[in-house]
Amino acid sequence: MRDKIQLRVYRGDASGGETKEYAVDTYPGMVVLDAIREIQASQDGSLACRWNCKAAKCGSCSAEVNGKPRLMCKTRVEEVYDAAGVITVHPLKSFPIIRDLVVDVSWNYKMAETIAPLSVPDDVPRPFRMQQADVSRVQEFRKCIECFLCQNVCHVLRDHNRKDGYYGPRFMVKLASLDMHPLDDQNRREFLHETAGIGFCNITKCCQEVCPEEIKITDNAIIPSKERVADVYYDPVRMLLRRLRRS
Amino acid sequence: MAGYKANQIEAGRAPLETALRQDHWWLEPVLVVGSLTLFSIYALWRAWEGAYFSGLQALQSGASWAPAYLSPFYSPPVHEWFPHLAASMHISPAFFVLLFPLSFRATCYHCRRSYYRAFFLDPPACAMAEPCAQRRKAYTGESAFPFILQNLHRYALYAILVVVVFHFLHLYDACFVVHKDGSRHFGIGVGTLIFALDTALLSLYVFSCHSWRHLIGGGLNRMSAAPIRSMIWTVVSSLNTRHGLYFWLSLVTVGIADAYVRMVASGAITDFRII
Repeated sequence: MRDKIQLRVYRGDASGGETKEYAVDTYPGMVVLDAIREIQASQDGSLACRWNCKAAKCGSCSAEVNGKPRLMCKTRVEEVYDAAGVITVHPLKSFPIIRDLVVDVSWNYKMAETIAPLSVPDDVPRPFRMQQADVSRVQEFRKCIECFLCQNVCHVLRDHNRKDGYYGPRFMVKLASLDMHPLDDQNRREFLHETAGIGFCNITKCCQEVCPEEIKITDNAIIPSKERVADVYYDPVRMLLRRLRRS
Repeated sequence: MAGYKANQIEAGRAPLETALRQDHWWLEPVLVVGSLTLFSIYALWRAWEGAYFSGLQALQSGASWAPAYLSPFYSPPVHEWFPHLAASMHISPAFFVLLFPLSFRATCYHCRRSYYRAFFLDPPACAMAEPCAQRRKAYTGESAFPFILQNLHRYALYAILVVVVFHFLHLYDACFVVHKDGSRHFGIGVGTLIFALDTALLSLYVFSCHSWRHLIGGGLNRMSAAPIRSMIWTVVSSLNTRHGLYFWLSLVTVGIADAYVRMVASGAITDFRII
């Protein structure tokens, strides 16, 4: 491991800026967030960076390290510096920038507000009693820390900016957790198809690749939801059977 | 790779290049394009050839015995069921057969991931800019024609299930040799082992499919109410984690099985017998 590394960090806002270089001394176990805090402490206190837990649980320190979306607190410097000892740290590029490494992710919170929370019929006795077999599947989705790395890497939002039609992987996970919940009585499939835009996803699995909680976003949330939507909207045999049952 | 700045996509984003990865991100798309193109050319050539698809053809070139192998490219044996159909249409029977695996593989979730990335560069790799994203009309993904048809993957699954059954039948046939006088005797050759491997990997590929996983129990919310379906779903879910691996391995073995049958049928090699 090198004793010293060069950090190339974006300094600026939406109107412009530059990538500035900082030399930082390293130590065993150092993560990129440590290096950023070292710059703040000893070289440039005006460097803006959002962080909180430094334990990969709050999801605040999302950034793009050498072009890849990562949590800075979970990325060891020796894993990412190049042959010259350089690490490039940029803010998330799918959301408006506030300053330096801080971006405005409020669009995600606006989308979250449009999703109806868990809705359980009044006749179900409280407190809820559910078998483990019924909730195991959705427990994986509860690991989400809302770091929005999946939203950042999703090309539908990143390259096509279809925030007008697609909610993004984070909310596909949220909707899957509700749709698969044994007690929820809402029609999530209609919402997934008509409002959340699940059809926009072309399952390139980048969201799954960057998830720091290792949630199988595509395999366990998006694809099963696509299949459930297909049951309702794209399967002619099921559609015919439903019509026959109704008549 | 030519990129663009994030603020060209949406005002307010940082004025930074969106394609900055320095690792070997290009390796996967190159390998996918190379392997799928090679396989497609080989499969097209073999289908077009319309010959050397049965191990029994070795009998016609003077051999005293021949293994009862049938190339997976010609299974189910449409050429036996409708011998005049292909001839009257001047088309190889393989083209009727290949529609089944082709539709299944083309709409397979893993294959879609691979070709959207490698052939459509949509995106070429995670966090790498799509070359034509700014020139394209509004992106619609799989919500509009033609890619909306991917939602019919389950029908391709039903078709491939028939192919899997025939793979097992032909594996059984591959356990026999046929002599010139028409008698059949049990025997295992190298081809039998290749067929066994191909059948096993095709089965793993098909039964780890996301649509199969959904049909078998993925649509359930109360797993405890259907313990048998829940148990099968758990097994399929476990297989599903390696669906991509099975996709590629079964693609390789189906090609090897066909190439082996061709070599035996054309007399280029004699099937090595184990039993």
